[in-house]
Amino acid sequence: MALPQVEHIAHSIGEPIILMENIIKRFGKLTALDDVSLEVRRGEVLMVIGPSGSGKSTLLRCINHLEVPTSGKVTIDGVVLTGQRTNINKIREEVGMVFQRFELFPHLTVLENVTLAQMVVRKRSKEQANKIGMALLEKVGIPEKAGGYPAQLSGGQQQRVAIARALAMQPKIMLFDEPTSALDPEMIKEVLDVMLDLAREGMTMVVVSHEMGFARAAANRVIFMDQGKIVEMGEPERIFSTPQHERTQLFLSKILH
Amino acid sequence: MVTRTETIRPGVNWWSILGVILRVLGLLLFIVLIPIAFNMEWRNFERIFEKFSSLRFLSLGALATIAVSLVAILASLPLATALALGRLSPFRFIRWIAIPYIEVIRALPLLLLIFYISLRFSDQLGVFARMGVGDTESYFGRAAQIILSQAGLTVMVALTLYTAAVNAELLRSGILSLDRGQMEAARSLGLTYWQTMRRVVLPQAFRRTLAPLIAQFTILVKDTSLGSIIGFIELQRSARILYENDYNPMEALYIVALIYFVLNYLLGLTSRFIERKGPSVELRVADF
Repeated sequence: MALPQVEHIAHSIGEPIILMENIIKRFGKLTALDDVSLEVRRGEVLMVIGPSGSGKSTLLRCINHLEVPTSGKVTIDGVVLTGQRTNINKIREEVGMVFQRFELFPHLTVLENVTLAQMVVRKRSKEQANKIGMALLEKVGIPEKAGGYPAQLSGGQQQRVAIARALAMQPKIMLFDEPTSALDPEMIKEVLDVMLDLAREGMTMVVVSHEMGFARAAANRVIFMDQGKIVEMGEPERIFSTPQHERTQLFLSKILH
Repeated sequence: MVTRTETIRPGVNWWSILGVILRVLGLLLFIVLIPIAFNMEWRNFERIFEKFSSLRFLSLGALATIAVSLVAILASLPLATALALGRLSPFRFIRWIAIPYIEVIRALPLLLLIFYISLRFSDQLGVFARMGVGDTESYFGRAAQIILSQAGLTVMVALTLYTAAVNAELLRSGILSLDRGQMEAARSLGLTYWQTMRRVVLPQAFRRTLAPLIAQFTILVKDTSLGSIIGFIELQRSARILYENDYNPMEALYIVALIYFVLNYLLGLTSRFIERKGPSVELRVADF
């Protein structure tokens, strides 16, 4: 999906905020992540690409412990994820996640989706949560849908609400798990625009996606994964134009046409 | 970009009005046909209606049925929820309690359960029952006496235990029918397991299983009649005492049948009322 050619976002990169060391994740006999190490710095936008089954989503889900690594160490903002409940919940407050299938709460209105965690986890008052929620719905461009239910929204609108829901916790990191692959083509841009805004504001983002336009415009690093390993890593232009590894070339030739 | 949703909102729909009229007519026809088919006699109905004591007696039975049902419904809900969550618990000790309870209680005939509780706990329940005995001459004093009798309390407890076991499985299936992503989305926002259950999973599970839950409650209302076997003077038993005096079982039971029907019909209406609150089902035009 081609985005209009935008000038590449200038990133101000800080100290490491995500540190993954020698992560191995097995599902039974299948090894989804095979000794992966990765460092993401504050303010970075990292794109993860690779064929299906390459371990991209598993890598993402290990960052907020939706998957618990079989071995290895994950450190988020200086805190080592130990598997202890309180520790995990605290980390999750700082790490927002956006899912392929949106996963909005269908029994709650759009505004309630955005305020639930604010009130339950952050202990904000209803007025305060509503105020922040409305501001975020404004930001993602659908304040008029605040009183509606998720089922009344288009896919693109639902995904924008999902982004607002994650942002309401004021996370330090945002994870995107194929945020546009369940969307009709004409709705992809509205979601990518919101993500571009976030990147401009300096949000640390890890994005599993094949949106090359977004990668070119916003990412400062792309990693290519295959069979549970990071095969190649580099700036988007370099990866896309002169991939070093044979498997990267093969994969890119398939998706870039 | 055209993405909008529209509700189909009819103005005056003559077909639906005709449908309502036909349904009412059908019901009336049904109510009239049965007495004719069973050769019931109007005189026997009159005999019930002309005696104030018969009506008082029947209404006491109906009241006992309603009260015991209501208590059992309300008490079984939290127990069913706890059992469903227990069976899905990550802790095996909790599962080891919930699973045998559900499987054993569901496998037993309700009547056996009633007998067992009646035999084993007659003394304990009797204490409660004695405390409940009030002025047996007044209408509500007599009602309290029937409801809080040993038989009444036995039925209450048996129905609660049994319905909780059955509904626990309904709720469990409702919870499992939810997309795993719902749990993950809530957890990734920092909600704890319990906060997620209470705010995200259970509200949706209840909504999804509302119809079968209400159906089970309908069965519960009807099963109060099993109490008649251990001497609980609920609706059906009160009819029997009546017709044994007047020799008009067909007519007395017919009135009882109508009362059961009305009670369960009202119960069914509550499910429609609850379903109407919250997100309405709308036709999505966006995909076309």
